[in-house]
Amino acid sequence: MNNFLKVGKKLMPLWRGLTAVFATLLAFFIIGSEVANTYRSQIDAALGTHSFEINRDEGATKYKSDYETADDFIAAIKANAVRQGEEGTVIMKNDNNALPLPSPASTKLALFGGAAYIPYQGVGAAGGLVASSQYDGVDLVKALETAGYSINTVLKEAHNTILAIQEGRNYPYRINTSIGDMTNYQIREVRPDIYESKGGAPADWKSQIPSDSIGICVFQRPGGENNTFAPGTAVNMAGNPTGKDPFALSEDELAVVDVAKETCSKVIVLVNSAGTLELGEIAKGGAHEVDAIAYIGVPNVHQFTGIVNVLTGKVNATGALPDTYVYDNTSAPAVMNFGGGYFNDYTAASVAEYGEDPRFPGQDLTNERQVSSFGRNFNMYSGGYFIVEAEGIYVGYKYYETRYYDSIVNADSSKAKSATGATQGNEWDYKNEVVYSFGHSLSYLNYEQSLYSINVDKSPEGNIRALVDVKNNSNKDGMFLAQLYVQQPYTQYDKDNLVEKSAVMFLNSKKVQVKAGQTERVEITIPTKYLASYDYKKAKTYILDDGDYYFTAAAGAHEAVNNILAAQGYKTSDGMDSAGKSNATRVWNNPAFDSATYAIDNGNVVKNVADNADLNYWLPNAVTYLSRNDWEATYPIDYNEKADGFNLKDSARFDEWVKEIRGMQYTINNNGEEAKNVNGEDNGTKFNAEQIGYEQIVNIEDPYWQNLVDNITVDNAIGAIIHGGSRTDVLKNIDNPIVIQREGPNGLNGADCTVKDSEGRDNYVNLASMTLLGSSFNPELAWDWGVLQGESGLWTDNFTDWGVGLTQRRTPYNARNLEYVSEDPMLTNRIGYGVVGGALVKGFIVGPKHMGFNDQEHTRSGISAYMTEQKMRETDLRGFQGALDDANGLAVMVAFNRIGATNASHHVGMLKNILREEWGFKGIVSTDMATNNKYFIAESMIMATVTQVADFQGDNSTIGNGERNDANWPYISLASVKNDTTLVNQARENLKYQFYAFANSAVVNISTIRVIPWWETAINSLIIVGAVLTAIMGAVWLAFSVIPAKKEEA
Amino acid sequence: MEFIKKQSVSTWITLGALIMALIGAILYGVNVGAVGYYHDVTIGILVVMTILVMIMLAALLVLAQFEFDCILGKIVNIVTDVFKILIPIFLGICLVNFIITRVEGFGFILFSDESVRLTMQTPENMASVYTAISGFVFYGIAMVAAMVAAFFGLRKKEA
Repeated sequence: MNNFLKVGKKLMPLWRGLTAVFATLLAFFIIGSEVANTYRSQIDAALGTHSFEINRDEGATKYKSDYETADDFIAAIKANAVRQGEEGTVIMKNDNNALPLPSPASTKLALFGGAAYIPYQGVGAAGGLVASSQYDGVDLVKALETAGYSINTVLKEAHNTILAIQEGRNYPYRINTSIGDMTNYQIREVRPDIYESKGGAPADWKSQIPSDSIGICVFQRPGGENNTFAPGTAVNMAGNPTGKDPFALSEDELAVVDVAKETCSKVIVLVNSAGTLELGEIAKGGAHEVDAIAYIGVPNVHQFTGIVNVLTGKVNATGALPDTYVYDNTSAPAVMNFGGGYFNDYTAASVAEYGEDPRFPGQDLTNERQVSSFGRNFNMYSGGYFIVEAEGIYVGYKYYETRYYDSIVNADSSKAKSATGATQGNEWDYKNEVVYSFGHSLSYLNYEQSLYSINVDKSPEGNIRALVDVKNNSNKDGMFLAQLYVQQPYTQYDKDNLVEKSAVMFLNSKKVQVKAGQTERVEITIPTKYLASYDYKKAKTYILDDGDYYFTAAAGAHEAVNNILAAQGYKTSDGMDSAGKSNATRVWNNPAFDSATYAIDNGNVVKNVADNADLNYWLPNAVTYLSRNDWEATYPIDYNEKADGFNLKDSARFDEWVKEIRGMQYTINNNGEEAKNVNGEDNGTKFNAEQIGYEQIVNIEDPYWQNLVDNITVDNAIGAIIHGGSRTDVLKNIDNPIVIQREGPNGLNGADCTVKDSEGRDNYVNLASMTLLGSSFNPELAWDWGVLQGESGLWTDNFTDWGVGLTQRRTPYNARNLEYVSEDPMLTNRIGYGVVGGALVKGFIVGPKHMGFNDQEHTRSGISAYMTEQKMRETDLRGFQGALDDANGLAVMVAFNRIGATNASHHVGMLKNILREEWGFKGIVSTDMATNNKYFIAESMIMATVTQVADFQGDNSTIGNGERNDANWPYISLASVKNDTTLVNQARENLKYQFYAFANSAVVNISTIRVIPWWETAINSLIIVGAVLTAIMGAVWLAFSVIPAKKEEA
Repeated sequence: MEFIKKQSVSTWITLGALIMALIGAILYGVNVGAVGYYHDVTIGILVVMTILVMIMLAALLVLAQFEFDCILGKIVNIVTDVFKILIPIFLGICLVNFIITRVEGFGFILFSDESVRLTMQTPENMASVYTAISGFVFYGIAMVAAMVAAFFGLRKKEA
């Protein structure tokens, strides 16, 4: 015994050391376990494990696949992708019968430009793939060769050799995807002068291209999240700024065109870009004019098959331009205010100058711009940066076509020909500004479209029904595109009250198959409410002006304006650049000014909800918004370069302004009555198929829903919202399933999102191209894609996807445009309607994004976009309205930026008044990946009806487990909110929307069972082993520490 | 010279841990103070734990210079032993919290989609990442050193 004690005492350092080691490891394992739990989804995705299993109710019949086998489904979704290529390819120019290509037997092709061999197929945020990532992916070369064409091997080998050149980790001749954040952009190209020196081409390579070859040049521009192009910042291959625009064709690209023209009999250029390239140099009359130009957008992995089907004439060309192509992109008034800048005294809202923020005591919060969108706990409000969207509704063709119209009809009074805004000459002239208009569409087969009749049902829920005759004048059967446009009257009332009207507005379109020599009558419908304009000055609601409304069917906005002008009696002698077809136009007359019919929507009064989005609200007369009433006097200036700038402190509403900037739209008042069921209760109401019947699915007012959310603890109710996104956690008492939320504008993207075919191959399902869906001008194709996206959910056990970008393309410089559809809100509206509505047929929730003016990625986390309420409602929001109002969409993601000074995710006017009340939206409202907790304020988001603040974490639907303060918003704890019944009730209401959305999806057919993956077992085992060893060693160390020395000696 | 010779292995290792922890703390300070991704991304628990660790390490170094008799000696021995056990635990907590507050940022800066990554990898952000990683390393070394020190007695045994 003595020896035992002696040895034990002697080994004291060992016991102590081992206790320290095991205790430290135990602390590691415990904290690690918490962290692993938070990032469970990411760990599962990385390790290929699962933390829950989905139990599908096989008896459920509501959402079933239409396909018997996975192979059938895979074939269908790929066929749709090919169709997107076929219907989205736009023939912009076609002279000398350059297109369609002659038969392969008689055709030799010579491909020029790096993009011909490695096209830009969208990656990253676009959710796209590259051809090599799917076993049967197709690029241009493969598609042409599959179609039987032979491609000049000298050029092919030279290009491939040059494209393979690597310097460090870089490929200097491949597309430059480093757009950056409004910095210089280097345009890389495989120049002809290096074919020989770097590509190994023989010295006589030109002579090895048969002179009867057809040259195809492909030029590309990339896109991407967090990236924004800057006007006029192109850099050449030598690294020198050229002074040209990043969307202008570079000297290298023009050299490619020139050599193609020198060596080939005909030259075709393909435009591989979401942004509008400046094509004047190669268009008709340009110094480098080519025979044909076609837009191919940003194809995904199968679209090239469809594109080649168009190039070869296998199908007729039916795509139309989703944007206006101009000689100089800076000619758009929207570009006058792009990028943004600081208020002179932006620091006036900081803690140092304005005083302490009671929510963040002791913190020195600044008002700098937040450079990155990602990162937590920035000590800045990020509210000092702004732009003024002074162009109002005049984005894209609405500017160019309206100014053209005014230059003919009322040039003097409107000053439409003023040099202000002109990029060439002494006066503004349409032909000097626009190369190809919005909706421009050339068909191989000769056809005519004319408007047979128009019927306008002017009731709140009424529709416009247009019958369009499409006559196939050719000797081949084919598909054709019919486009419907309208001109609303621009009245004295409008002029007096700054109600702006475009001279022409796209409404909707449809495609139709017509036999050779025959005519088909197609019906195009659109809700009549879209005829109304928002009057933010006087009526403060939607108005329908009295007067004549001119409807026309036309192949593009410019043709539509000319048709309308012709119907109004104008001729080429009046300045029209082409005689319109007056017989393609029909007139509907509204006999009296109407400010009532569309002033009520979904039972709610439509009224101004964003007066403070207008900078003039804060600083009277600070901004002049563009008005067609006087193009010269109202053409925007750059408000960020205004000589004396703007000061926050100059506002009589300075204190109110600071509150908006600080995100204090709502302040927690915890002095009221305690909220109901603070700790939740189990009243037996659960989220499952047995309890969710027809009544519950169609009626969110059914008592079931209130009973359900009343069960939820206050900790969960607030916590599930402010720590939502990525996945929906199981909440106490209601047994809701876990729902993983996927991300990808082109379809389901990520782990567990592929479908195995009968040969065991994984097939991706994110196969869409938003650019080509847009240029297809075919809402039915979008609907079919939506249904297939829903099918992909059924085949992969996924239920939601943050996809389909519906933000308006305000300028070409937003690199996120490759996820968006068009410059036109109505085309966006109809494509969104199709994708979202189609997916819901299969119980799949597609959440469009980024609602609320994500017009640039530059400083998106906090930039204030000031605008009129007419612009707010008729541009970006209208793009979302088709999906969220008309198609009853069930989810939407909000933009990062501010509308006015208000964080878009705090914007009660946009999210509650317009989205939920006017549009009747009952679904999920998610923030984008909300990061800065001084910019995204929890209580303000809840009160704006946000249902989930997105983050990457899971199992975190709590405010510090009801015991601690919240990790992101430390002023929030259960104790600090439980007596604010307004906030708690709104949080429960928001969760009602969240679960109601799931009840209206295939989620209702499943339950999830928690399972423990091996890594969790391993961590738990380590914790147990660590705890046991720590306890043993600690006990041994303690025992020998306290044994008296006397005993030891004895 | 005599003073140096008198110091035990434990003292040297403890001193090493103190220096490493101090460097780690300085790097943390630079990380939250300098312009870059982690500017102002403070970690309250790290600051508290680091201060406690410093106090305990300093106490160990001071107490190692004195001999205590009887009950006081017993108490001092137990207290220093407790310190030796707690120090690596606290340093471990510092390290883990330092890592978990930075890991999401690493994801954005180092592992995002290419288009995002290119805009995230600014010199300031990369400096921020490297400073944080350096901080991890020094806190990690300090923790390991403290664990090793726990295996040694406070004072050098007299021959």
